[in-house]
Amino acid sequence: MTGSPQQISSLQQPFVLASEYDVPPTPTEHAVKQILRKLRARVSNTISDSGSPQEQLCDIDVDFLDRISPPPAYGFFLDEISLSLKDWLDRDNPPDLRRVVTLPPGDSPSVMKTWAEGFGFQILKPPKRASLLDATTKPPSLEGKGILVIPRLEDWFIRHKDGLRVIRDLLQAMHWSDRKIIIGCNDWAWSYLTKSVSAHHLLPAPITFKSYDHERLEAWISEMSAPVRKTGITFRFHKNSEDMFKSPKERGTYFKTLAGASRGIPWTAWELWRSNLSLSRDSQKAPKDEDTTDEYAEQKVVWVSELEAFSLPGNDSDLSLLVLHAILLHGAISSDNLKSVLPKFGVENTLPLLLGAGLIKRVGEKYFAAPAAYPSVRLGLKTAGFPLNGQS
Amino acid sequence: MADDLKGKDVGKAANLFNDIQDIDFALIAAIFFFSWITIFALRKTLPFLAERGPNQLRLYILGAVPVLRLFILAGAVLSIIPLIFNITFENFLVIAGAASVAIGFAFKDYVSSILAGIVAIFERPYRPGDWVQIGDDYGEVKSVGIRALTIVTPSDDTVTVPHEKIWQNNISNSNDGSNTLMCIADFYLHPDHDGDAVRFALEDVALTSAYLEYRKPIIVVLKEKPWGTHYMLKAYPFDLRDQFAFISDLTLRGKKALKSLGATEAVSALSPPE
Repeated sequence: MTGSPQQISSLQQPFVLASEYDVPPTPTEHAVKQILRKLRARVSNTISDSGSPQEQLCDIDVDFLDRISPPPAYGFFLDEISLSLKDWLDRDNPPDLRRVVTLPPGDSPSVMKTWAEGFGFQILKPPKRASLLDATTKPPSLEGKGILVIPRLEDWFIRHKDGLRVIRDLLQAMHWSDRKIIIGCNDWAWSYLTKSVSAHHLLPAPITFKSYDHERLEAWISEMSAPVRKTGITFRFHKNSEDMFKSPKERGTYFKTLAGASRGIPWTAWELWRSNLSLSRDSQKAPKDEDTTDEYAEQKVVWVSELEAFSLPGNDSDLSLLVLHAILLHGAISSDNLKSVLPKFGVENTLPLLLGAGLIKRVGEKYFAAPAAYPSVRLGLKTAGFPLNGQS
Repeated sequence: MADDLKGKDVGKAANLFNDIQDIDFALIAAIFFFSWITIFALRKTLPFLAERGPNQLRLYILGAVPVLRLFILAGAVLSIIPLIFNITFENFLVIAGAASVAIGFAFKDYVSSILAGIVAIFERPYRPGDWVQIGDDYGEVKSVGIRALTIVTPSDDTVTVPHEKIWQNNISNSNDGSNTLMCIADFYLHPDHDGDAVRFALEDVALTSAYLEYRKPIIVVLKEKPWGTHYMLKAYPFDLRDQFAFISDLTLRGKKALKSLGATEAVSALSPPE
């Protein structure tokens, strides 16, 4: 699947240096509301019992939600990567045989892996994370022909005194290899690897996508919701019942808020948009048609709520923040590995708390930061003085 | 003639103070009350906000308390004096003379502490939020009062130190207004070990700490002793309030790392092992 030509051609340089990532501004009114809400939460310093703000409103089951807001294919995003790397890919002997692409956390499945598979490039598979601590584990040979892709560099280390050896070996092997190698990396991990293994000395400065401002988000979500709207479903603002796609001014304000709230990250914006949809203003479902098995056949209105930030747990926030920071660094990590990288006890009790607050998600045995909660998590870590990921 | 002189002296003494019916006691009381309530509110509110606000602003907010208190007190005193005293050059000399006697005999140390406190606000040898060593006491400066500062030690003891200590004593400030300070984890090893391997292992211990500040360096320093080698792992946490957790983390994981290298601890820092 590909994005619209207009989207691509309007961006002469889809990707920029990661240090030049520009977060879209947040409308003042929304920013003030969030500050006041945060101040109330910090002053009261209590655990929010209501869970994530979206939980209260999201009364749609997943199937209907997927119908009205289908998971994006990110085809346009993959095209942007191709366009950014086109010159380098076309050259036989570029000055630097390596290219680094850093992305904020939350892309699942891995965007770089999907892109590499589309081109048929060889993908370097990482070892199991626990085996990184084993003194006998070595990175695989990089010998071969053609372009090699490492989709997630963060899968090659664990923040443990014995966990940096393999990635050091891998970086050295990449430095001496004569193959063209594309490295994808979570930007939190990149920031850490710059400090811990001097990755920035062995690899070039990373590039990343240009932030998705309100215009791009509006075009993208409008396009995604067009098939649903043709079936007669309307999207109305919860606060004033206005039809979202017939009120340009209100829509513009909403997408400006969404762009700022999501920090210009497309998958975060999509999750936030999706999680703010509900079936009825009073949380009561529309009456069911007796003649159909489709529970939502009569549903003609989907309500769009105001965007609200997630709350971090009030009590024992130190351990929560340490856990969240470790999860962001590693991209996705199991609870056993998490225990080995944290200095405090109590990880087993903290993970359910963070799951309940909607700040993290679990797939299998691995935990990762929930894309919709990522901006709130980042702000919480920044407020507490944790080392950050750069710009995004 | 003696009566004339006596009348002049009485008149001079009476002119030192304003006439009692001209002194606005209500205004004086209002100034006292307003100043007191404002200082009280600042001393409670600003530390409360500092602990709950962004980490980067914490020390600035804490440091504002003594400065604002000084300005409020100075403003109150300068407002009250003309309400009570008849400000003339002769009256000033009378007051200065009386004050000198009082300070010299009874309030010398108290006034010395107050003056030292004012100097400390401008020279900043310490400020709220700093970790300082004064004499045998090391701890966090919780508040900077008019006469003394209060520090809370790692054992949660509250120590009140008069400001006049700065005239004669060294004040050792570990963070000097910064959000971080250098932490040192010490290791004492038997001489029979691979020094290079130990140094690299200890660096990795610091690099993999959850508390590490990325923007500060990590240094491993070693000193040879008669009984073995003393290693000092020096690094910075991103929040100075985590300093003890950070040192504990470095020490525990450092011991594990050294054990896996086969390095053994020196039995005693004072006598070499047999």
